[in-house]
Amino acid sequence: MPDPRDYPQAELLVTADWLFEKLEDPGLHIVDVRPPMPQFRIGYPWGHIPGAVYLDLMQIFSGRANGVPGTLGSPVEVATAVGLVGLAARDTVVVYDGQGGPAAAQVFWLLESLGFLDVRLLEGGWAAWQTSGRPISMEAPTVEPIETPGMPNAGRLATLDWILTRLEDPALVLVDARTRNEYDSGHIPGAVLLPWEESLESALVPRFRDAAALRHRFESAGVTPEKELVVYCLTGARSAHVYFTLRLLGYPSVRNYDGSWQEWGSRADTPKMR
Amino acid sequence: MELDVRGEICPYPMMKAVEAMRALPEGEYLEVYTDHSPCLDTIPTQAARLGFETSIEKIGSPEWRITLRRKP
Repeated sequence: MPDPRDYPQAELLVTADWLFEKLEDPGLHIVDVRPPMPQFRIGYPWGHIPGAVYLDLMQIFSGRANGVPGTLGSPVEVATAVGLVGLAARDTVVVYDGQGGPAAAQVFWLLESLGFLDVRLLEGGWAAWQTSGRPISMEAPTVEPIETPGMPNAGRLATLDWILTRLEDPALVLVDARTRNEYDSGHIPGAVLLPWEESLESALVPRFRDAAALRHRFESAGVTPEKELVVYCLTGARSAHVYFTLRLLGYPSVRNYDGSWQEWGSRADTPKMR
Repeated sequence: MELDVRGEICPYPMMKAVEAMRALPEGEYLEVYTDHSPCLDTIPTQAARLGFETSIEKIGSPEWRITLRRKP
């Protein structure tokens, strides 16, 4: 049944029911990116969606590419981590975290930037799977490592230099996905504030607002489909959630600034606004 | 219950705090220990969405204890 929320790219967002029906599909890969919390017995070792592999975000977002903590590791390091869990660009990949939040969205963005063509996000993440009453596994599947998971798609990534050379371009819109306080403490000149969580309804198992509400929110802030969009936050995770939301709405040109404010705010040669 | 996320940066403290709030038994409260100042905004924002009240105490420089309780 079509999603009544009417997203132009509805296939990017999947439900627990949809995923359960596809569990035996050999072309489907499920990726759990929840950071383990032993004290609370939360995380992959204490139960995950059957067949899911665990991708350690600390290995991917080691900051070793540009020295900014929490941002991408070196291209080789990232490709190796993705390949080790058996993911290839031709696969259909469903990513989930605890609630369908920034971590899953960051990996969604990462895989798209690595050239993956069919990446999807489980709405509500592990919380949705748990409340659906579907089976839970403690077993890790056997995976065949892949040497070169994909060819990078540079059109999904914004760097500091890329933004600096376009700051005066009227076609460029910067979206700051942080909180009001963080934004007021300093932001990239011209950026509009659109906190990531406001794309979601408040609930124990979060759901995206419908397409009309989301479109209204973005367009009211000047974030329209014909613009070149760059989203950022502190380390590129919350902004990846906005990236996902804009992809869901069918915006064609969206980039995530991986270095984000952690990099921009710490550099002496970047303009800043308060 | 306590959640020690000192040494961790965004988004992990926020994500872990959300998971811990979801798992928190009725009647208990959660104390989050952090040295990452953006948590003073991100965790209370998520707590409010989950129906929790927040109080923040500075216990070092920089170090904070964020106490999260379900709203009555």
